[in-house]
Amino acid sequence: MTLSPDEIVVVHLGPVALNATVLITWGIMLFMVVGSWLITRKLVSDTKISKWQHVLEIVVLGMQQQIRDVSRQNPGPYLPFVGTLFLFIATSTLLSLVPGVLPPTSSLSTTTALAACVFIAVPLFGIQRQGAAGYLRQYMQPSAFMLPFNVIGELSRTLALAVRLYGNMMSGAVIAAILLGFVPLFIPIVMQLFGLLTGIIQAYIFAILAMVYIASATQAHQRNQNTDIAKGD
Amino acid sequence: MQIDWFTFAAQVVNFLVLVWLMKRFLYGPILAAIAEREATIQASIESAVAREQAAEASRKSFEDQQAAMEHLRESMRAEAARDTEAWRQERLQELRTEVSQTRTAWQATIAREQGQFLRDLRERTARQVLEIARHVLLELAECNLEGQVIQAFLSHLDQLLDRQGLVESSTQENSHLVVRTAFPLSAEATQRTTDALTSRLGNRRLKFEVEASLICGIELVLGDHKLQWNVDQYLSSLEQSVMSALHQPSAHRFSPDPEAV
Repeated sequence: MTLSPDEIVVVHLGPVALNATVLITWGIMLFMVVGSWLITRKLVSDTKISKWQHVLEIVVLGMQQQIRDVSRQNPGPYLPFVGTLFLFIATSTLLSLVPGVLPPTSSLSTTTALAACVFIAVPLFGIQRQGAAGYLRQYMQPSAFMLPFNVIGELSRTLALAVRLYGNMMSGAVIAAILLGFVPLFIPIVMQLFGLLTGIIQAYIFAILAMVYIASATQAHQRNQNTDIAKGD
Repeated sequence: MQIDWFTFAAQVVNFLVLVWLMKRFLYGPILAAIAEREATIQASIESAVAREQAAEASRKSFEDQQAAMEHLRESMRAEAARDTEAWRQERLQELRTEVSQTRTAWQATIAREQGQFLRDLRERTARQVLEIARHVLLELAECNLEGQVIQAFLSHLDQLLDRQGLVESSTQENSHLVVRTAFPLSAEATQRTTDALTSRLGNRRLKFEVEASLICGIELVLGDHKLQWNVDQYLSSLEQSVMSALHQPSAHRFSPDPEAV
């Protein structure tokens, strides 16, 4: 029983073996980009808009609002990164409904890659927001002795982020496959629907957690600024 | 459960590329369209608010103008009513005055015409009566009154001469005498008159003339003096009496009554 699409090698390009994870990811990317292009190429700013444009606007505005609620900041700089995380994971989850196709998010490599992206993005946004010194100073709060623990916490939460998504995606696919062997009728369909629900929830959780991490890195600077202003008064 | 590091790296790259592509094809256009639509809606709202404010201002202005027009109309109506009433009272007063003047003039004209008519009637009647009397007396004088008239004249001659003192003055003058009568004298009457005058005034030259205007009378001219006797004086007195008698009741009867106006 294949648990990860990484193990399915579809084509060899010299020394590079392209597995199903990469190919399916490309397919998902192609689907998302072409779909977006098809819809957004005929965008109108009038009050009468197409239903697909309406759907996309709802999705984008919904994500924007969620980011604003979590970070209490302008969602503009974070929307492409966090929104793409959510859309990619949600699209991968939807892909799991296709029989015989494993979502790339059921690959630990993919989830680790996404978590690594978050791991890198958090300090980048933090440094962009408050500078390198200001960001790094957070690791020594409330004292320098906390530096190792802060670093471990940073790494562990990244690990948790990757494993959580992987586990949920993989388990959903595995449970569906096992039930398919035991009870071939009806129950797998229900489990697929549960899997779809948990997949959407996991996409939401992953994106929200990423945003929380980014917001914690940027809001610390904001709190410091507010404290300085209060002291100045 | 293991990590394929090539896949890991490929997925990182894939994800970063996907982020860029989605920003390029999804978030950018969608957010730009939303912002543009929001701007359009905001502009429409602002335009609608501006138009609403303008409409409200126009409505208020119109209502103010309407109220002013109503007030002006009411004042003009009241002024017109006052003017009309004043004009009516003035015209009524003018008409009353005019009617009063017309009635007074009319009544005066009526009274004058009535008085004139009655006066003419009375005068004509009196003259006619007197004319008839004259004709009657003239006819009587021609028949048998001639002698009576001469007799009456001669009988009054001494009295007339004494009253006028003509006897003394006539004796000093050598003037001739003229006897005028309304009718030709008969020979007997001429002789009797000549005798009477000669006996009183002496022998003088006498001349007899006929004067029809001396109605039933006789006239003696002695130099600058004239002695006359006829009934014309009686008739004139009678006419005056009749006229005064007739004027008395007419003045009372046709005088305008001021209370009746």
